[in-house]
Amino acid sequence: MDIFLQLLASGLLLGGIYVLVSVGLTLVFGVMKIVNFAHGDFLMLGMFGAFFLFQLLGVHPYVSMFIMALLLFALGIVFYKLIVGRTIGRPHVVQIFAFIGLSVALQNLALVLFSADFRGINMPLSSAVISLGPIHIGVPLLVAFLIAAVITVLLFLFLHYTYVGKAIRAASQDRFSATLMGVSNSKIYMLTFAIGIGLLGVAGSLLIPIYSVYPTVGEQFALIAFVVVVLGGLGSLPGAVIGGLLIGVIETLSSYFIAPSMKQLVYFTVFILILILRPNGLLGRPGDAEEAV
Amino acid sequence: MKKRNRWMMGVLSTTLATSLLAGCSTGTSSSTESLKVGVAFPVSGSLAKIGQACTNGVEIAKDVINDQPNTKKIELVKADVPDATAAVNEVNRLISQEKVKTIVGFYASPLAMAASEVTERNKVVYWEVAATDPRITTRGYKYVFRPNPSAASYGPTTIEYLAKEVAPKLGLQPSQMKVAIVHEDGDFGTGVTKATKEAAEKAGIPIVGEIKYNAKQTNDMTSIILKLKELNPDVLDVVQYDTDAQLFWKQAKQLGLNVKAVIGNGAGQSSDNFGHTFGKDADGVLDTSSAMLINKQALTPEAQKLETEFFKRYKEKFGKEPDLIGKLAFSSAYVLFNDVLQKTGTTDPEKVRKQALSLDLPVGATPVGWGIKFGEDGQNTRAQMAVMQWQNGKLNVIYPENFAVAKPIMIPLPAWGERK
Amino acid sequence: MKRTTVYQLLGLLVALALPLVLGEQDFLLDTLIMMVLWAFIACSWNIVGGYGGMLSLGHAAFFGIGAYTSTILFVHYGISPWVGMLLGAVLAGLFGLFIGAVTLRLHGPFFTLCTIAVMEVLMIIAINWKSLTQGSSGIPVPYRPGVLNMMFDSKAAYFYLALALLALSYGFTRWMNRSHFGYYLIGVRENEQAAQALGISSIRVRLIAMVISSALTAMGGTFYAQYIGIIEPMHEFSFALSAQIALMAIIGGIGTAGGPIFGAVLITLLGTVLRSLLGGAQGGLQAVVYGVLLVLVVLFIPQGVVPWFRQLLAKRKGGTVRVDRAEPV
Repeated sequence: MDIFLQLLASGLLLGGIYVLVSVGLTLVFGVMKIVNFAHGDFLMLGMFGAFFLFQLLGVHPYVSMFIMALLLFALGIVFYKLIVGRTIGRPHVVQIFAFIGLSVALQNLALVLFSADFRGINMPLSSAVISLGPIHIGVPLLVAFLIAAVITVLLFLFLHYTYVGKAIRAASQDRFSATLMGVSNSKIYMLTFAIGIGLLGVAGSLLIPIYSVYPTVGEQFALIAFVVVVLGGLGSLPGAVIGGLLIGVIETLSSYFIAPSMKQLVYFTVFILILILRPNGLLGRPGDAEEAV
Repeated sequence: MKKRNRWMMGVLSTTLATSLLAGCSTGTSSSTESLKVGVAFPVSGSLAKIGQACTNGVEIAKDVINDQPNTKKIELVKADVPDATAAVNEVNRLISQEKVKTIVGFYASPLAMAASEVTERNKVVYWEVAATDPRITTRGYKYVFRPNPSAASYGPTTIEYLAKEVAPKLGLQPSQMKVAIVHEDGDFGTGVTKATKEAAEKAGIPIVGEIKYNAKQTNDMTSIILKLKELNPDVLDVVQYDTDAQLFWKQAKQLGLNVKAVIGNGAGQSSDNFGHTFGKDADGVLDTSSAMLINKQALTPEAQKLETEFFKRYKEKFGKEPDLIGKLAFSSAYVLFNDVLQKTGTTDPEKVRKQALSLDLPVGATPVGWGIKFGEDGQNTRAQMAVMQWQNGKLNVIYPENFAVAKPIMIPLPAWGERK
Repeated sequence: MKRTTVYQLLGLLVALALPLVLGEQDFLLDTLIMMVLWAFIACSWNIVGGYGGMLSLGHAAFFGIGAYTSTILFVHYGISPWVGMLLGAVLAGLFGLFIGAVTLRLHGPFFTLCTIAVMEVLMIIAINWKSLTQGSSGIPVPYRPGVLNMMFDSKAAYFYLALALLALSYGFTRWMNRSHFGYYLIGVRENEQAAQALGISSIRVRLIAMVISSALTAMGGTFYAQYIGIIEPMHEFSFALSAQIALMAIIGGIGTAGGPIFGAVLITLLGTVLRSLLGGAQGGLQAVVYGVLLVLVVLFIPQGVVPWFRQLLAKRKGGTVRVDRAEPV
């Protein structure tokens, strides 16, 4: 029983990480109907930023997360102006491969600038632990989990109770009517994309006490983020939360009860089945996958 | 109209480009004085970190030779081989355009396997300084030489040390000492594990569990650690890369995994990062690898001098401390440049091969402590592994005794709660 | 018409003569072989990705099936790679049929994500099914030259074989340009409902395209295995390989017969030239160039370089040009 509880706790905490890296992806898709294939690489930039802020200036990751959120938000605006904005309403090949190209360029730029070294930060926090009876919980994971919860709630409130948030939701539900109502789509898109990327700044800072950063670290999380958001329903915020926690638990349980090397097989199979049988995910709006224009 | 350009363009651009290429890199007729050697490592892509370290090591070896009076000068032709197709392509370039007859490379095993077919077919000497895949020297190739040990050498050394030194300290017979293996499921992890299991069987040490995982796709080690707690081994043998080794050890502490000894096999536990991240928590962890800081007394005077010179030059030229793999590359390339090419005075493959096979350097003759005596397969039979241990944030050689710079500590390892 | 045929024959002749001109220049021949191989695979991808509008980023799966089928048969059972190539093509075709069938409802990014996931699953299987695939260390293909073993002493032989493969998929796409099947496929891509209303079975058309493209890609896998001499899961089933295949077709011009060939030539050359220019310098720069090039092409000339260039030429001559579409879907 203890083992099961520990697995469950670890699975949920890991799921918290997955939620954290997935909310931005699902938000951007929900509003813009664009799958950001460079999502993981922006996370990589966030992690590098947090790493250098700590290493060079001694900024604690829990402080740098605010700085990185702003920096990546700004970066989001820059890339929207340069690339993303030009893909709106264009065919799939443009939307998908502009991001693939961006991903290749960012990864290798990081390789040229920072080298392929693995960089982790050394602080007591990294291996700090809280024990509740037989259950042990890593402090950085717990913090990431709590902040993921706070972010999701804040984002939900923002989307439902502010004017801008309502405009974003209006644009996501029906872009033509929203335009008629005086909502400027391009500004909404830019804001949404920047928020989506800015959230990765927070994620990067929260991950750096736990994982090392290197130029291709994004791949490790991007693939899972895709699984999470498709499972929950692309575009659905609550869906990303449920999807993330579910994948976290599936991963730890299957890795214990089947084999660690087989856990990906389990969640990719879940992923493919969901795509085939219920492409809108658990909580997605019907028609999103079929439409997806 | 519209179709007319299709083939034209294709053919035109092809011929144009090839002629361009031919123009920009025609075989340069080098002066007869210098010996031309190809250097091919992956210096871009995901293998770049180690590929660059290897290239740097070889370059220092060249500098050392060329700065000595009365030597035949070495000229390096460098190439980047990030994947197997590039490896074949670049090796072809080195051979047919640059007229190179000896190539130092390749570090990653798939690159080495692909490129060595080209070298062998062209009767070009291939001098491997970093790859550990046993298959490189077991295919009956005539022109392949590997001064460094194959992956099959980690296991026997680890088991030998466990049986000889660790078991008595734990008060156990080898047959009572339960060992569990955790390894990444790539080429490196599976290769090392296979040899370890064979050696353990010979020594009568029971392997109570083997857990493998994918190093790139593992974000959580809880399940692995819980399984280990259930297996409750005396000794944990791990084969890990950099990031996964860190995650594993972090979570082992968090979840309170206590074993009496932990031994790594190069890579993750040999990396500076391991010490950087864990500080005192790294202390006591053992690591089987080709040695870095070995007892100078074990080296011949020439090797001692060479080691000092390497460290000095590396820092001057690249502005940082060399890592282990850079030193291995240096040591092995130096053997080629000094003990083989200076004697033959030419890179003629037959002569190089003959000279290499006749080498007979005693243990301690190279800066990494190995001797050189190639078998007919091209594998060095005197590549010595060592066991090291993290002590006060430093990786010290503790075995074999003539290499050792320190005595082993913390065997058995204290439980996490009792560590200072 | 006649003129076109003449140019094509001329092009073919030049291509056939190239090895004779280059003689012993192994490096140039090797570069040419790689160009032709990637052109062949990009052409095969183009049938599904370009004409069919199904943007697969998991084509390495079929490449890997081809490479592994023939290699396992050759290494373990001594069966000739020629037979293995055909069996691999059949196997990949069936697998493509299966993938096509289960993804019929998926469009755009959803289809793309599914192809990536399927490829990842195959990679995990190839890593873990060690008794069959030798796991992640891969299978070395022993060098035993002989026509029956599809292994040749001379690189020219490999070149001609690759050229024959390329002719196969190029010929097929040329035929598609004029056949009902091709029009149906484009029709389904452009507007599935409208095509169905005209009585085209969109399911059948899509599935046929999938089968042919997968089978051809698998043949490329066998050729690769016999030429390079080692296959391993981390490369044969990798996202990087899939992306490279699609990237060549897109840069050259998808949905045209010649585009992928030009794209493959351009990208392979770029790689080779940048590699020999940068040599042992800090790597990664060439991939940055790739990435930026891809972004620029899809944003500003999404029809690809070849059709764009053709339009440019036509404009300059003051003539008109038939534009298939403003933008591919």
